Amino acid sequence: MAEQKTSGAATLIAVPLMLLAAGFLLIILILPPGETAAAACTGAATTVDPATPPQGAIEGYEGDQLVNAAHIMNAASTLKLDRNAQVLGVMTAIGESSLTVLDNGDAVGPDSRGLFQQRDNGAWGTYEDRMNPSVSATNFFTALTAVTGWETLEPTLAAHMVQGNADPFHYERFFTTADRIVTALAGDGPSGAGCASGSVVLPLSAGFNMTDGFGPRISPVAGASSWHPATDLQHYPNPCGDQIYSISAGTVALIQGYQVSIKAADGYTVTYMHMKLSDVSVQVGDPVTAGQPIALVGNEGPSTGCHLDIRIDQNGSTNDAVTQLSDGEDSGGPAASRGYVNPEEFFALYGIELCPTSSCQRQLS
Amino acid sequence: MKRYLAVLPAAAVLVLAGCIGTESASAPSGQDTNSATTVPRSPTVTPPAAPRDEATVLPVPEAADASQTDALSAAEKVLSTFGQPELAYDEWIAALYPVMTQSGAAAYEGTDPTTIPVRHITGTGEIMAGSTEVALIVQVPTDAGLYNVSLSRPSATAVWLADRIRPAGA
Repeated sequence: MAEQKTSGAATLIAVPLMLLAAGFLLIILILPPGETAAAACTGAATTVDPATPPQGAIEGYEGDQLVNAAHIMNAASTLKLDRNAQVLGVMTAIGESSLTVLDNGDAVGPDSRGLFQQRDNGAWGTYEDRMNPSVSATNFFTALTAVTGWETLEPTLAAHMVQGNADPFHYERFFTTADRIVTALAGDGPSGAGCASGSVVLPLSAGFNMTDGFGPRISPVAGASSWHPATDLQHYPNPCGDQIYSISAGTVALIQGYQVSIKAADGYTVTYMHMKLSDVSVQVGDPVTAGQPIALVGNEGPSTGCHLDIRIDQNGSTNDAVTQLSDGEDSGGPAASRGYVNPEEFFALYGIELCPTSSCQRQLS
Repeated sequence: MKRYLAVLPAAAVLVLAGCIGTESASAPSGQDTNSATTVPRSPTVTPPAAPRDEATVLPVPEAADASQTDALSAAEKVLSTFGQPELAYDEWIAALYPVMTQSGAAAYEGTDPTTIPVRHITGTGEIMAGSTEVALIVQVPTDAGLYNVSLSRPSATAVWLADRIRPAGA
């Protein structure tokens, strides 16, 4: 059971040695000594009573859909899995069936059934098993936990290893919704800012402050621009030399002056500013992962103190959620702010509060 | 058993990507900062004057014409390689490896080719806005609708390889 994909047709072959070698090289290059892979964002799984779903809708899901989410959560907790697994299961079922026990498949899998669209290939039990929320969820989690390193894969890729979809990134956009449904059903809070989706992370270690926000400046200095298409972040005291992390996966597209620009695989571009070029640890053309160290906070260029200016340009985005964020010009900014979105709204798309009141002081100018 | 053992090396790369991501962002330099809420805010620290910041971004130059031409043919090759649902998995992934980046290939190792709706390209690809010499996206029409192929390369003289192959609007 645990070794079968939903498809049953796929038989994975040995990965070329090149990949193997590159994998170990990565371990050597980027895992700091003594750092463990223990996830910082795990929490205990809660058991939910499916007989009493919340009144009303959560993120557009209601009634039986929430009952099904409760069955999925309980299947995870019965298997002693954590809260992240619950979110992963709900995310997968949203992507497969909108949390509905479907008695039909689709064009590429006409024999798919149930919340997880499990195929009739013997791997997922009987028709009744595949149509049963608890049994199908249990079988999903059993297969998930057989995937090597599933806890630390991006959630969409972990789900994909079980589901065998044509699009490995299909589940990514359902993560935040799944997280909110699990939070609402469990009655607890998400387990930690900055590690919600795995596909987007904070640019500095948690505990930084916001020294300027996106939008018009409250008290512009004479001769200075009065509209800021960016967010300024820093720890204080001693903000200089603080490690900056890439907030998402992409390719380093420009390093010049005091800026590093990284183009995401989804097409948008994130620019980090005011660093010394000698403090930049990546090169143009480098692939970077979310959370990879890229540079140190500096005070280069027109700046009166060490801080990180981070700005996100939606131009070229193929991610509809990012494309649909309002940009600086929509918000009354000058032409130069066209395409730049509010970083706080960008992070919110991924379930991350950029400047939570519990740890981040807003000291906006 | 065999199939998950085979997944391991590529999974290890992604494992690293994932764990570095969450670890680094939340607890670098060995500090105990398990979550944002546990970070103490020192009452003795007076916020300094907010730094002034009048920087403007240097635009990333668009990919040169020759680079765009290369990218168009690379994207079409990627999609026609990807869109072979009739192939057995072994044959399909072996054909895909040479046209994908390392992390891109790792993601598609989980794909069952029989679920791929694309069978052939139906028109000429288009370079999406915001192209660069080392990363860009090509939109290609197929019999299953528009597909976005995210391409990248380590330098302006290297071969374009694919990171993602996704239906537009997905």
